[in-house]
Amino acid sequence: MPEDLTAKPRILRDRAEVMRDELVWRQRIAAVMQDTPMTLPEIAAALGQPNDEVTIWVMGMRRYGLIEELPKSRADDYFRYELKHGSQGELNHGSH
Amino acid sequence: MKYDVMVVGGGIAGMEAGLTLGDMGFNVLMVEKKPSVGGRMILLSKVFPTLDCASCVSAPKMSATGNHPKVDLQVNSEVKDIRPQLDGTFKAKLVRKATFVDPAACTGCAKCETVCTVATPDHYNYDLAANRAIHIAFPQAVPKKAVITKEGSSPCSYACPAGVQTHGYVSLVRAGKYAEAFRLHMEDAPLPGSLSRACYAPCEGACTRGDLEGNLSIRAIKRFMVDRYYAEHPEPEYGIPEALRSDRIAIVGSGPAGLSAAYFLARKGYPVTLFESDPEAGGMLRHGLPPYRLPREIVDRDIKNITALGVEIKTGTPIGSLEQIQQQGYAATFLAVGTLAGQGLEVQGRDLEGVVDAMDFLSGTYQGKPSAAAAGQRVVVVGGGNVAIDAARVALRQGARQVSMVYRRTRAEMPAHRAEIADALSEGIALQELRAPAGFVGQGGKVVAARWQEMRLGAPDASGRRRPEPVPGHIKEEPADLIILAIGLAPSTGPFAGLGLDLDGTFAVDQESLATAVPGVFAGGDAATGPGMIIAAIAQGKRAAFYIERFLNGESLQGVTFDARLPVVSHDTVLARAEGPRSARPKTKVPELPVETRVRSMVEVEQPLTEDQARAEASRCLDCGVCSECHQCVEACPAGAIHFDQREVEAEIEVGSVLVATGFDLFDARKKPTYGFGSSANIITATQMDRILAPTRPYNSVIRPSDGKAPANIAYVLCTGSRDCTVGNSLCSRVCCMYSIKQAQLIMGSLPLADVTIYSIDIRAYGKGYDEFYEQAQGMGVRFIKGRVAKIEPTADDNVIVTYEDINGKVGVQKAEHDLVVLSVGLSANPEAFGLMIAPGLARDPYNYVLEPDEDLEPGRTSIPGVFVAGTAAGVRDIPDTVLHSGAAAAQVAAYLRRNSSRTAAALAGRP
Ligand SMILES: Cc1cc2nc3c(=O)[nH]c(=O)nc-3n(C[C@H](O)[C@H](O)[C@H](O)COP(=O)(O)OP(=O)(O)OC[C@H]3O[C@@H](n4cnc5c(N)ncnc54)[C@H](O)[C@@H]3O)c2cc1C
Ligand code: SF4
Ligand code: SF4
Repeated sequence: MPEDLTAKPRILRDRAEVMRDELVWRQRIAAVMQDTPMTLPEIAAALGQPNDEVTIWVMGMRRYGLIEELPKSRADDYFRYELKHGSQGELNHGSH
Repeated sequence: MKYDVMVVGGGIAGMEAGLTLGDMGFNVLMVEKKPSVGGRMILLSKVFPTLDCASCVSAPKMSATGNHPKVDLQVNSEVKDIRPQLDGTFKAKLVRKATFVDPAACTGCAKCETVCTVATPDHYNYDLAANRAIHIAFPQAVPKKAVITKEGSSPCSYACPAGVQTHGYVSLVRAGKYAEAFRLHMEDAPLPGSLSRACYAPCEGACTRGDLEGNLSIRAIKRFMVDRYYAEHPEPEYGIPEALRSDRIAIVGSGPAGLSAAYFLARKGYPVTLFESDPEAGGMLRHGLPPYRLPREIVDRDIKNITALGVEIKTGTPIGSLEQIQQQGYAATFLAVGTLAGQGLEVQGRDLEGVVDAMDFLSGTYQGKPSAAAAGQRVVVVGGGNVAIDAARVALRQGARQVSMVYRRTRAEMPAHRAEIADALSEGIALQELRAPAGFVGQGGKVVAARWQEMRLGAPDASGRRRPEPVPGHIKEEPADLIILAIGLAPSTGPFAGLGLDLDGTFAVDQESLATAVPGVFAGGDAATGPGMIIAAIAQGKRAAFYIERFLNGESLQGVTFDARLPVVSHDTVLARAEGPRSARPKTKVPELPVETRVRSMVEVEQPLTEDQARAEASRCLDCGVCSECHQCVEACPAGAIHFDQREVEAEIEVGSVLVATGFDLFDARKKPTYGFGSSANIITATQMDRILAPTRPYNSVIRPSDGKAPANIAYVLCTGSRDCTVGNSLCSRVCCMYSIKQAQLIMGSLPLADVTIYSIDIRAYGKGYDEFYEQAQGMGVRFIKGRVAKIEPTADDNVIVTYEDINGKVGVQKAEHDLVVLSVGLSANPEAFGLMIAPGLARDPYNYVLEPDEDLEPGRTSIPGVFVAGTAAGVRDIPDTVLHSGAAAAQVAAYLRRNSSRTAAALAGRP
């Protein structure tokens, strides 16, 4: 496909707003990677959300113990991430 | 409190000087405004040129600072002012900020962080990643204690009369924690179902998002949370608490005020009896509010929240006097009898059949009384308040032939809520403005017509609204079958008049404690305030419960604070926080039944939000106060360390000398717009890159922020904000060349396949081993291009184009594409140092650093005797130079203290 020469860079949203959204998106992120480890662009594509925002959300989830990375070889551009064993408790909110 | 020296700032300069002085035996007070010492250095990856790990070098100093017997470390503290004294010493005011965590109890386990529902930019990672409202600054923090970022009460929570943590349950719903949201609400108010349907929601009016696309639909969020919880919990989760108290309490009236007082007292273990004259409990909730706004099964379920605690409700039991209660031996009484009577109207025909009071009409309808039958009738409602609207809409739903409302002013002055008026009109209710009843005409004792006086608006009255005046000679008669008078409600205080009533018939009570003139008897709710709203009545019940408990404990009702909320944060403060554009997030429209369907039954008009809608609406929240007080951390903390009643503390101290070590500021890359900072996730600053390279990095590896790719082609742009008159800083920042080379070497170590290019005016590598370090980088393959960068722009595929001039290559202006660009931002002066002193102020040098009048021979001395400076507060310098300068400053302090103490001793001994 020819490159779209008119494509413009996306305007970044206020970072604090993106970060606030992590709390909403994390269950959906967990849902799409339930069965297979995924790279950040794959997760973003599955959710239809921008790569950079998904990066912030997944890194937040990683920091608080819900997600971890798999080892990557030097030749790979991207890490794959998977749900951490035992993270379901914190993610399975919504019904009690 | 007395110290030999106060060190302001706990970075490497402050720590070094403080430890040196402590080792010399001086008593040192170290004041750091952040939660940990360590300054900027602890956030670095490694240090040049040795490539020693920055944490390994700073951590021992940090821990020594925290443990030194002569160093009193006060973190989260700020110096308000420093006042020089005639004897060469200083007095100072210190403020310890509230962190809402007891440092003595906190063990640093970080369990709180994982449950917190508010994500905020992590300033320790230079905003690359999110942390939480409660957080431990960074893994090596000294002291390693959690702190809560809380800038004040959020406007929504502050606006709630009952102190419901609105922001708290909104943030819990956003996080999908619905049951937790419900339980949080129950901490502050017991009738969440009724409130979710019928609260007038002052929180929504205060919501900061109202300044943008529209306030959050907070009540709809609450409804979602309540519906979900009640569906899963048909019965309360708790039972009767342990009977801790023997004092029995009587409450008269089972409306929101009475129920709320009963709930809070029963939770404390008091046996409570509620007396209600009606056959069912609920007060206005049952007899006033129409079921299309508040379904009765919701009221029933709400009341279970109170009865589950063992509260006994005696319905059908009117109390005719105070004595009737007192004879039964209750230790305290709360009168919450409401305003269920209509205001009298002196007009001809008032007593005709078919002329009814609105409250009688509404409750009669719910009880199926014939006097309230409106089906097939021509109904006129007199009044412009919310009760009038309810009556008109109920008459319509009964099947009235036609319904109109008559109001003596115009729609603009109607006290009813705008949305309610609009809903009523949309249902086909007619509004007759500028009309007042002049009399009702009867036939055979039954009303058949009404005579209406035409009005006009005159001068404003005491309420500020224009006073309606009759237009002489303009009276019209129109047929009517049912006239409903909704011209105001009167307190049902008659049986208790002996307690003392105000002119409007409400109870005369102490506004703070709600105590009446009779000890042990309290009164509240609408009966004390006049007609109000559900949440205000709940607030009164809660307040009464607080003071009744004090009364029963024999404690004073005076001089205590019942409601100690933090001051509210302003909308401007919240909105000013945004650094980039916010996405437009229009308010979710709360679904309603279509008019054709709803006007035929009492079915609820408002429909619930779906789960996705509720969470999307909650995610519009701006986290105004930052911490939402969702209390998840309180539950999670095994040490019980979190206390929301903690407040800022001020202390006055005396010190022999002052050492300023407040460090530097970083150049804000946004001030150089041609460099594109903020336009791409892949244009970052070197401070951010140092975090990405540090072992405690915010990511799992060295990856680029746009998509997690291992960068393959990285550029450094030196002198961003230094040696640049266009941004007002002609100084060289001294460290940028070297830290960029350091980072380039580290990148080559962790990403051996990556290309690194450094764009510079020239490389300044002076100091021991620095030039060798530069050459080593060249040997590793780092490309150095001499030439100033003109422009940096993102591409649509997340790469970045750098436009530069290649001076050495003599090829003129060039463009290069990189997948990550690092701006080597310069250092600038931290103006905070100048706010410390009350006259005389510290002198500054031409670049706004603290002036050392004799820098070459007396480093560390400032323009004020007894005040010294160390590190980058006095000028740009790297870590080795900072440490050296701090040593010199410490020596100056020691000499001053010795000199001054011998001078003072001499003065005391009368020697010259
Ligand atoms: C990206 C980057 C990389 C760098 N890399 C290197 C390197 O590899 N090697 C090297 O030698 N140097 C490096 N530097 C420079 C180094 O960071 C500084 O030399 C050093 O941190 C200066 O220490 P300081 O104590 O003077 O200031 P800071 O580290 O800024 O500490 C000042 C402290 O004072 C506190 N404070 C400020 N105002 C108040 C107040 N009013 N009340 C109480 N507390 C207050 C602050 O919170 C802070 O904790 C780098 C700098 C940058 C920007
Ligand atoms: S109360 Fe809630 S929002 Fe506030 S710090 Fe605790 S967990 Fe976070
Ligand atoms: S934006 Fe959120 S915290 Fe702020 S007032 Fe509205 S609901 Fe409350």
